[in-house]
Amino acid sequence: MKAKERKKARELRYQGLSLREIAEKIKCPKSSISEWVRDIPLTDKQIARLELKQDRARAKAANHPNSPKNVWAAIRKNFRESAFKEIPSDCTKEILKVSGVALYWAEGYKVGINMVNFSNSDPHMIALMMRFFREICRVPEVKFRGLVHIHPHLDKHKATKFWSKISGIPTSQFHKTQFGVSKASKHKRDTLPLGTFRIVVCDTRLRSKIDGWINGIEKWSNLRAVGAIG
Amino acid sequence: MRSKEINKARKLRLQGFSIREIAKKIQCAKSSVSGWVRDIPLTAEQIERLKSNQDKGRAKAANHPNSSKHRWARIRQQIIDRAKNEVPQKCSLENLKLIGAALYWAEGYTASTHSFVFANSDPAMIRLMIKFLTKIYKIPSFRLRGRVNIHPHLDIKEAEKYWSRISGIPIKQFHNPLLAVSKASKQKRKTLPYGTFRIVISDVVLCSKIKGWIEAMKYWAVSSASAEGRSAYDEG
Repeated sequence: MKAKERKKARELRYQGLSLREIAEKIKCPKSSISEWVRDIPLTDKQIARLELKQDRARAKAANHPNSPKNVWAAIRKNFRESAFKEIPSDCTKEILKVSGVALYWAEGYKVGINMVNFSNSDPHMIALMMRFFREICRVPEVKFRGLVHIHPHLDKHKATKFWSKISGIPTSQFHKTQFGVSKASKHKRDTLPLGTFRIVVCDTRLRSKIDGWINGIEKWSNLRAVGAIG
Repeated sequence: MRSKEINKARKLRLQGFSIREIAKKIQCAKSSVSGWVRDIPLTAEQIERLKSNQDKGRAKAANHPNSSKHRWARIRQQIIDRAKNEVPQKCSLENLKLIGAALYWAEGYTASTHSFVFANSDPAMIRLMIKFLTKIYKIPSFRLRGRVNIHPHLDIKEAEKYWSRISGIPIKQFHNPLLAVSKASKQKRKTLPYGTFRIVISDVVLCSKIKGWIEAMKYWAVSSASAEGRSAYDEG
């Protein structure tokens, strides 16, 4: 029997050392030590220390370049970058038109018949739509109106300046800032520090044109094939 | 003086006729008749009759093919019909990819790193997304999952049948329907009889690829924006 080692192990355990630490000190397998000391209760403080060590070790493992987290992040990045190159870097008129129409179909306002309205919180999407309105729809600069929608506790002036820069619409052509808090926002209050922006153009002809373009794209879905009206 | 006409006009007005009716009967100008009879008060009943006449006249005018309402409806329809043909009639693979990426950018769940989630109430959009998934990403149909989101008082079975037909995803590949009423829907309870439909695919590669495509589209916006706009974005 290894009575000497057993005694030493129990002493160390009373001091709050982990099985691994004890095993290293007395050069015995962890499995033996586990049996010798498992009846010894640890104090809350000792348990807290061991748990902290465990957390640190887990964090270290997760940060290792070969951890699943990092391996998958690299795989995702790889696919993202190769996909990035699959889209033409040069945005031709045809591409701009199809993309703008798709975005309007998804995010634009379909109610009414006279107004072209497009809202979003993503500055890239706003900038791309402005390109669509300028280069494809040929909306004259004076016809653009902008509208900032922001939660009342946030900085309205900063937001107005930001969206004017992004859209290229002068703030003199902005409508009054809206402060409503949508019910759909649940309790999120700071996720959009610059709020959302709406591009407004009052033009029945343009609105009809965009509606027609959307109809053209809707046809690609071939809804008639399943008996739903196309 | 035309005292005879004045007399006649005043008699007719007392009976409640409109200025136009009187002018027609006595062959005088409406403006003269108006001057002769304007001091005569009408009874409530007479006023009622004239008002309903007026309403009828307005409705008739609005329905006339040359009314501005109809004229604009025709103009709009012409523009719409012409515009329909201004987008490519056949959907090339390149365009399908752009459309899919643009729609996902707008309506998809971009926060996830591993799940493709696209929800909509528009059947055409759902079908186009399925086309994008099968033709561009070549996803096998058994990997598609669907989910109906519908208000609890509506016909859930009917909605599942409908969306299965639209999407081509068999009902056995649907998750349990979500019967919640979103707070955003305000008081609307019947605008979407079939609810909305969600396409769900667990696929890290698909998620990453779509992000790459969207990033490429974002790049168009940045590369085109004025230098000012770009720096504004960097600050934000």
